[in-house]
Amino acid sequence: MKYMKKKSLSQKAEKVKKVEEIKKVVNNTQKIVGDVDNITKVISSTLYMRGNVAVDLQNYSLISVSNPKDII
Amino acid sequence: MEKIKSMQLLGNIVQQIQQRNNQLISDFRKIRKNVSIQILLNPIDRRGVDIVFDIIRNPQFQEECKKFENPNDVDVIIDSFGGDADAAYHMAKLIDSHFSGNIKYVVPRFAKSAATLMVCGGNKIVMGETSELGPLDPQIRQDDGSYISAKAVQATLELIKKHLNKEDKHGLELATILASRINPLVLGQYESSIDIAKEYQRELLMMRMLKSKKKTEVNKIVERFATGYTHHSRVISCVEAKDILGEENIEILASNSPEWNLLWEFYLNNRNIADLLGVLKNIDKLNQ
Repeated sequence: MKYMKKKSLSQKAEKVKKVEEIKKVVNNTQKIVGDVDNITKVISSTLYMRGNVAVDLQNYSLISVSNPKDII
Repeated sequence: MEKIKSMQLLGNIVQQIQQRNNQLISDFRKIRKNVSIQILLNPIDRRGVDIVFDIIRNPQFQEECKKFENPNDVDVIIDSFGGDADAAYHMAKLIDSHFSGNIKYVVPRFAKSAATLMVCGGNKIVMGETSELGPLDPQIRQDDGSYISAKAVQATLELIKKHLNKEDKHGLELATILASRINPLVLGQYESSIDIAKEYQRELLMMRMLKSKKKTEVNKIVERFATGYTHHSRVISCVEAKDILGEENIEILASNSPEWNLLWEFYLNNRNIADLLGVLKNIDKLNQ
């Protein structure tokens, strides 16, 4: 009985740990999505970002964002 | 607050350049009498396939095509150093299946490697003095996002074999360096990717541009692109492209023609937009 209790407690702890990990991933994802939204906000009248590609639906252009190393 | 302000400032500059680009593209289409799509991807990747697909089936884009004298024709303005051969092939096939008229790939500056493969899927390639095609050397994506040339890996493997046959210790050193850069379990993939690129190019060329040519003639051309050059960044100019693919398949625009002037300004503007977006992305990442 004692062993069973101990086991269920450790299982619970593991579940909490997993939930925390998932929360972390979700937070990071939101951060990344937030990045894209900020750029889209300031250029939204003409372009929108899809990952590292800017898409212009007015003249149908796809433009890759330069790598900072290439700019310098 | 400062961050948002500087982002807005750069965003305004991007918007102004973009407005100028809209005018340039509109004038270019009027001269060419058909619609155009602009693909300025570095590298060409699978995300590009999704976006091209979304554009060509966009009802607004389809309406735009109908406004021109030649509604079934398209110019694809391309500027790219290359990338994923599968994605380039797939994009060319998508464009082919959506346009029953003439497809012309317009190259203001670079259509290298996988982009060279892509332009083989049209009826003609439109080039000028600054345009560059290149040898067909597929680049394979690494786990860290970087690309490695399949031909370079093949050449290194040959060198390792040569050293090992002579029981020379350099062979082992080279093998260790190679294994530290790429996964040895996928080495076979590099070999086969060269064959796949050749297969893709043959299929794309026979789809439109070299439809009436014999398979043996097309094979000769494919072989020249795949193994005829030792240097990956070798320039294939409009004159050489004419020599390889045939005079009737390369349309050369004079440097002082109105079309070329529009194209050139558009190309320079997009280089600036790409750089400004890169800076924007970095500012956005600050303090996070």
